[in-house]
Amino acid sequence: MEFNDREPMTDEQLSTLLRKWDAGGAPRSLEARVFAERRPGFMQRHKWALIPAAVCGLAIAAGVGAWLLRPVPQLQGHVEVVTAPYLEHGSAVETLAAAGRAQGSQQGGTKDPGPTQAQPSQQQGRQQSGPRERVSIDFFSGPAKASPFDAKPVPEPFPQETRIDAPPPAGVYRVGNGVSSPGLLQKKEPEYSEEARIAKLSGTTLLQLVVSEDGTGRSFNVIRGVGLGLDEKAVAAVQAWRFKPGMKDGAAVPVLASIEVNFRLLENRGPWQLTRAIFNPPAGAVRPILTAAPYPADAGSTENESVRVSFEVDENGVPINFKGQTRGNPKLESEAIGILSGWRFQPGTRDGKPVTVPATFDFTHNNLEASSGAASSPGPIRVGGEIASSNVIDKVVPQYPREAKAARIQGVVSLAVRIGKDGHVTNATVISGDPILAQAALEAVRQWLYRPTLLNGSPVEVDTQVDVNFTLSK
Amino acid sequence: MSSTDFRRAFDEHKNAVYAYALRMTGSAEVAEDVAQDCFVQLLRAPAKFDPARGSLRAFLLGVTRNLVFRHWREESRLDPMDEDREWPAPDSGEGSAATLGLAAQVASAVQSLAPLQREAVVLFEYEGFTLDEIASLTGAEVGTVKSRLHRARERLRRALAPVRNGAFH
Repeated sequence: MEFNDREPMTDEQLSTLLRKWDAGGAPRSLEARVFAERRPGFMQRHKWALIPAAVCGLAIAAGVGAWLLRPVPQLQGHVEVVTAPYLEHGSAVETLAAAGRAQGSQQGGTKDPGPTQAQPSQQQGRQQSGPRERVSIDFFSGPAKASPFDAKPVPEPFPQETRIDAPPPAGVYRVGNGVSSPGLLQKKEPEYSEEARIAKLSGTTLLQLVVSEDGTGRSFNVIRGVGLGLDEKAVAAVQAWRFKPGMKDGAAVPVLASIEVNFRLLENRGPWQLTRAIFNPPAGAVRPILTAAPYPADAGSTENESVRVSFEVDENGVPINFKGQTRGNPKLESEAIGILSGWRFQPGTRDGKPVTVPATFDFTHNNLEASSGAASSPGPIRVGGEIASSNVIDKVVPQYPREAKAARIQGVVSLAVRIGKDGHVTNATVISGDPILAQAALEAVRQWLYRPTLLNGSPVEVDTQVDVNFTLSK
Repeated sequence: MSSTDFRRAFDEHKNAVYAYALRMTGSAEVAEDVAQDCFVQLLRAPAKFDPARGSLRAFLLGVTRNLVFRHWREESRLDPMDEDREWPAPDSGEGSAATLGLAAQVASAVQSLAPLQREAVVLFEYEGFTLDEIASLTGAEVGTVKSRLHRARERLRRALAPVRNGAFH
């Protein structure tokens, strides 16, 4: 077969050429990994690292957020200290929550939150819930289509899924290739929406935005929503954030970024949890508003699984026409439908008239040992990890244990910490985590010194939780 | 899904899943990780596969696709959704075009395509998917797939021009 060099290859010739690359068959070791050894693949290795922290938070029944930046990848034996979640009750701690929110610069440390009782609460009414357990900020610009893991075992596609399949706006850069990541300088806590609080909705909003040269965010886009007003709250909060802009060749440039805002309500949580609530109102219609969301007594199922239920909210605000979307666990599905059938809405409207609106809700069932007793016990006040964290005067960073390093043991250690009236740690116990890492975390945290927490001018004991994240670079 | 069914699915599709992951990522190690995760997912949640929506093979490759993109995201490499930017060819050791075998040169040319283009080529040329099937797997319009494939071929023609005589003589 002869042809002229100047003549381009036909598609067939190109195909023939491409076929010279034989990928070969799957290696034998794959079979062992799938059927026998069950060595975690990269997905499991990455995905489940944070679950222990979330679960132990439940035991104490309360939570305000802590946040973390991506670990610095170059470090060997990087230790990241993350304080975490409690949810406070009642007015006493409300002021602390307000103070926590008023906190200024995280990185620069230029603003001191000051004595925690000095900030009057600006929240009227209930501020019983700190909004989040954690806000992770993640600068990537990948496909935002839900992957199979985004919603755990719930099938996709979810209605109203937005996909990024378009290039960024003109003049906006993506991280990489000489463009540095923006950094977070100052953040504002998102609030919980009343509806989400009623429904005990916990979930993750994925936002896309452009970080401008001046360090502000713009062009916000909810890529994957949680619903019930939380996405709006997330955008409102992130709009107030200030960033160190991304840089290219020494100059600040606008950079496309994605931010995950995790909302976690940990108070009085039963085994059932609403994780996503999306309405699909017909064109021109306003979605229904959730007004009552009782969770009946648990049926005692032992499965840990997510289910998705589609239904309609009729003109009277009553959910009808339930349809399980999971095909996985009919029993859990019917339990979820049972829960939903007791919920009530203010109906959706179009031109002022009530209309039927389709909706899809995700629930997760976690078979937890009942742990609600802890919430009502008297004693020291509980303070959100983040607030407590902002009051650390002296923080001893844990040593990465040598044997753990050698064995490449990583993970989160969660500690329950009691801070005495004088600010010293009077008690620290391990809630979860690898024993070797836990020992190192304990040794360090026991040396921490906090600014005493004042209640009506008097120092009080404080219970909080500290999560220490041990990660090794690859 | 019974264990026999799963076994059969594994035997039947393991090579396709692995080859797809390998051609997309260029790394045997990552491809094996991805293939493992893909089948573990099938094992854990077989109900996610709906025969009414397509073949098991298409489903598994869809899962593989998500895993591969996820891997890229976690690696924080270049943005996989960037349509046009060519990726640096993976490090192929000391081999230059002159010393690499034909297969390696083809591999390297495919690897240097932007991911969405690479994906179109891999699915079309190696997995034998139709444009419609690719569109449904990747959630893109057929026209978009067509144009990705077109651009990919243009790049490949250029990249592979130096070696083609050797290939066809």
